[in-house]
Amino acid sequence: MEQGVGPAIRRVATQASSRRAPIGLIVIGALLALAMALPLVYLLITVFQSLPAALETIWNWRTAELVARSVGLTIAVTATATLIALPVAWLTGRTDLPGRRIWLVVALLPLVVPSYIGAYAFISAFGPSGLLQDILAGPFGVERLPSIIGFPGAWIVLSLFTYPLVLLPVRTAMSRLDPQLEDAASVMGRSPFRVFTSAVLPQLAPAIAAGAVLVALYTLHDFGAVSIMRFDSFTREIYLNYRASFDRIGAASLSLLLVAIMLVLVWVEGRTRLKARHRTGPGATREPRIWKLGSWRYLAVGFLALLATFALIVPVAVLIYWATRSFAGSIEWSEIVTAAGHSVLLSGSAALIAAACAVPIAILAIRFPSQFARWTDRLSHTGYALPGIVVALALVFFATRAVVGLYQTLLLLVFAFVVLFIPLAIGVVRTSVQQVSPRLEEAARTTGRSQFSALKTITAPLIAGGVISGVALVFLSAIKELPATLILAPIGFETLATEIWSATSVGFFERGAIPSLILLAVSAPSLYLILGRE
Amino acid sequence: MNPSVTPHTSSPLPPLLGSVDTEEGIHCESISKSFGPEHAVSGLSLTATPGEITALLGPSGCGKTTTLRLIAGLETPDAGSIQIEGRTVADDRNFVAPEKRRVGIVFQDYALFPHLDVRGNIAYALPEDGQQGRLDRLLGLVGLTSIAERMPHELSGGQQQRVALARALASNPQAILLDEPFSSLDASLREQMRSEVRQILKDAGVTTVFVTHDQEEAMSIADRIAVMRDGRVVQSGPPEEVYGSPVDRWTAEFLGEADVLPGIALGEEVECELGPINAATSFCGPAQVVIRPESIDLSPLENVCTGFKEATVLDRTFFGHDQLVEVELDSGLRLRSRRLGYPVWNRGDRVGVRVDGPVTVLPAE
Repeated sequence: MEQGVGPAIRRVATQASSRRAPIGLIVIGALLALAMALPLVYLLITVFQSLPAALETIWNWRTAELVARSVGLTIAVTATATLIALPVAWLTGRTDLPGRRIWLVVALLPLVVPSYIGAYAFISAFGPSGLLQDILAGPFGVERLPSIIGFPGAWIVLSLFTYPLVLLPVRTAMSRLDPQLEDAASVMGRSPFRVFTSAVLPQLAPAIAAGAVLVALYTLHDFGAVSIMRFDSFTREIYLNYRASFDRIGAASLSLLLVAIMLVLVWVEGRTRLKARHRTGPGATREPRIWKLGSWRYLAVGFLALLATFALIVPVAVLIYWATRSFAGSIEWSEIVTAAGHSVLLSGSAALIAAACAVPIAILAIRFPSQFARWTDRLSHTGYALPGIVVALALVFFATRAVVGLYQTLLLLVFAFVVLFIPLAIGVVRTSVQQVSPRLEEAARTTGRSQFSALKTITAPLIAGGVISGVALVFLSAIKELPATLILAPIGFETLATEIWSATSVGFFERGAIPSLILLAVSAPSLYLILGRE
Repeated sequence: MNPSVTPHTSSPLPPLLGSVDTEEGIHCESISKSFGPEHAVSGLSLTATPGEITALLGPSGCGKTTTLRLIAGLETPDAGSIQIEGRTVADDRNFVAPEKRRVGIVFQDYALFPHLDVRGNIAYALPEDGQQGRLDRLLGLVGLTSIAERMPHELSGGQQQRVALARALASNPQAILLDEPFSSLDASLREQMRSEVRQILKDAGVTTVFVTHDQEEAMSIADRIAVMRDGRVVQSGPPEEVYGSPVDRWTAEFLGEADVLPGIALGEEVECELGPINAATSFCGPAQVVIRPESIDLSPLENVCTGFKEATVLDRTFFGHDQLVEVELDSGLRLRSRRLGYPVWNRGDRVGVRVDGPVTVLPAE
């Protein structure tokens, strides 16, 4: 006598409790949300205080060209990264390619290379008076190579280090596809290629779109690669503007314009996420069909090897080369150790604080869904749409005008890191809170525990794992951060990232090699964390 | 295993429940609860007698789980009042938090704490620490002494349910609430657990409300059944009464198979296509005659005497212990008859049909 499931009962089953969140949680959530939104709010205040000047900066041809350059680079990088990622996803997921799991890991590894290290490796290898030219100059007398400075360098480097952002979601979506759909299409007499284009590709479209948006966001965010390649995109222009003049309004209004562009992308990303659908059919998940590559596999392996060469082997080899060269000279070990210590201190405290702050925000969002919780969650994600350089600038304005004592303090820098990286921690903690059934807390309460006691004795131990991986994820991402550190670090406070930056910007390639290798070694495990989440 | 842990089979229960002596039970008075535009519970009144098992029976989406959550204090009613053992726990002005209601709950998925072992789960609910004896008694009561150190994911469905039950009993509650407690067990285990759980609850003598959409389950466990529809209790009473004298056609059909014929009630009898039949309820006027398949008697045509109508077997479903035979009277009326597994009725057989015993008669709608 089963009748249709009424909406009311479904509500009860999925929702936590219709009762209101404890007041303490609401207060903490509101304070955190306001703190996380501070940079954006202060940026808006700064711009609106001198609106005419801001409009003048935004409304002129130079800015239009800047937008065109940035958008052009973004489109080029997004298209290239997608075109690289799709065949890799298919080859490692649906073919009999030899060693495809290893190839997948190799293809994902460039994800952990910070763009400025990639750019540094490329410019020192292929740039003017770089390694390649040195090699060719001797026997062949080559005086000039086609220059990679500017657009080509930024385009190549960013594409090579961002395509994993498309590869990852596409691979995940591919493994969730119902293989029976492909079988159905082949039974209907479609050729393998038609099967792929008609039955598989449309289903992957949301994943491709989501990945592409991530690449676009990364490109707009990026400061390191474009600066080293001396391509005048938004972030570099903002930085130069800030360094060149005391007129903050120029940098501030450009920042706001960039944020507006990024918000459009974030909105697009939200839309694609809504559209994402997974397998609908019932039945057990079966192994997907595997295409036999035959002699095409040589071509496939060649393609993947070429990709690995440029995205992984060349950068690492170049860094190792510079490192060995630096051994010949004198290495300032104490300087490196100090910088590494600063990096760990900075990223570590940011990671601990971000993960701790993520807990109340995630609990509010999952356990007490309301308009308030949604806004708390949204405001806490501002760091997702704000490039590091923009957050840093906004905090400089804030600290020099509102709370003067904060300027040039480590506290301000840690705060910037928390704003920038808390979305990562919220993501992981949310997932772990989601996995704890609200029934558990309710069961705890009916045995006579207060809400707080139930949270402490049941929820807290169950989400501890998620919080710890949130700490790790933020730490591993924060340790690579460059622009905010450049702007906000107290004078004399060098980190590995700023060491690499200062070495590269003056052409002392040897000096940046060891910090770069250390950073790569530290970042590599983050791939494991990222894969663990998928 | 802790050597001090031994099953206390001798005197399992006395101190478990301090408050069986009260005469109050649970009273819900015209309670309502909406989720946005959806009325989950609208003006529901319910009484659970102390020490008895009351089944809240209704189709999915009728608001029975919400009712349970209202009693537990996991939801706040929009209107109405709830009393547990003479204490008002929710009305217009007061709301007693779930932790202060002294109500144990067993959720559909049991909600065992995954980071605690069996002992830890039950001990969590003990009012004070250091009640080793009580913990051991509870373990013995639900037969889990030998697996007290297992983690929830190492337990079978039935064992998980017993842990959940022991945990609910551990806090010394005045009432136990169970939400679809058997729905996540497979069929064979379900039967066994039903009688086991009933035994444990009866031994504990605790006032119990359990929610189910399975009428067979409700009738086999409960002392009283409250039939729910669209957020209200439409009928309540002992299982036999609810099954035998449903208040309306919907309830009749929800509680079991029934064929409903039009007729005219004439006091003690009702006149319908099957002739005059003894009525269980006495009134006069246009009526609906509710005929349960078990009251339709079939016999081979050659043995038939008066009082039988001639019919043809249309279909037969065999269940082993019994069979459901669908027959068509020569007038075209179709009826179902539930008979024992033997004799075998085949499609096309000509049979005599008779109504056995008094039937429920309801006013025509």
